Amino acid sequence: MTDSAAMTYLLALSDALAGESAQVRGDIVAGVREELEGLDAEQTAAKIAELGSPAFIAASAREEQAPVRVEPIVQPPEIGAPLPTVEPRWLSLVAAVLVMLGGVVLPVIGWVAGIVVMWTSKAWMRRQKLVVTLLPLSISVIVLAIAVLVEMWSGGVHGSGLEGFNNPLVPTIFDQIWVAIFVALFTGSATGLWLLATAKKD
Amino acid sequence: MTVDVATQLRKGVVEACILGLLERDPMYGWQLSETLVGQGMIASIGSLYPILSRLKAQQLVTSYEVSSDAGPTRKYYRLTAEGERHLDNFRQQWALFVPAVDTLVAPTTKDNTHD
Repeated sequence: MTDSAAMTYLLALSDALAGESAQVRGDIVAGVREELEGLDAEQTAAKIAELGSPAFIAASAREEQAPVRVEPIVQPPEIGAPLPTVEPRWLSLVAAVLVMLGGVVLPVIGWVAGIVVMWTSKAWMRRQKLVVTLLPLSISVIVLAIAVLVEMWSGGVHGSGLEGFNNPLVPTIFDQIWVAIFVALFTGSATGLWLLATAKKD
Repeated sequence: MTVDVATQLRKGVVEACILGLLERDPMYGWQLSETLVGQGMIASIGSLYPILSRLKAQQLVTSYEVSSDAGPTRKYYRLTAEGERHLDNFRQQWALFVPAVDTLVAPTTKDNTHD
């Protein structure tokens, strides 16, 4: 039979151990319950005083499970070795904005400037830089290739009597070039936005 | 940074101390806690159970329950065969470790007799 003071203590202990694993919490509460079982009120009070407060027991459990702190060993740079340089935060911001909007403000040149700045920055991985560089170019080439094919097809089928007849429903090569430019600008802006979102902050 | 040397040392050896106690006799939680708190090895019974949990997970100790008409049912802990091997290994390492550290940290005797 457990005394009511013991029950109150055990409940408070269980609450104080709420952050611990179920295993540790259960073991501690069960271990303390063993000690309080069958005691009269006076013995219970004495044992509780000996155990310490639930908060103290919980703090001990937490402290025991805390990993031992090991200070990292920082090797001093060799004498004469160049000091590691820290990249300014604005560099990645400039690169991303130029890739995103450079091509809109100053077609081609603005975007190329953004790509150059991006490659000098360490804020992104090489693979990501390759994607940002090649994606707009690849998509533009594909759109232009489709345009050329459509133009060849719409030039008329020999022997059909439709030579020289331009189908008004089929876009002209100029329309396709504009589409390619628009797609390139859009892809450039989207990849610039991606750079902005994924730039390493340190 | 201030390093709490005593805490670091205790953390390094408290598991072996529990194994040493359990090698003599199986003990229940409060017995272990009382002994270890008395020796300044742990802060309270709250420190004990996370350590016992680790030792059980490593299969160095095991537990069993003992019912009694005179008192509560108690969970006893005892050493496993693996625990005994682990303790033997610790003793060998410790026997080499202590004199080595003593030698290294021994205070130097400065000769103050010359004028």
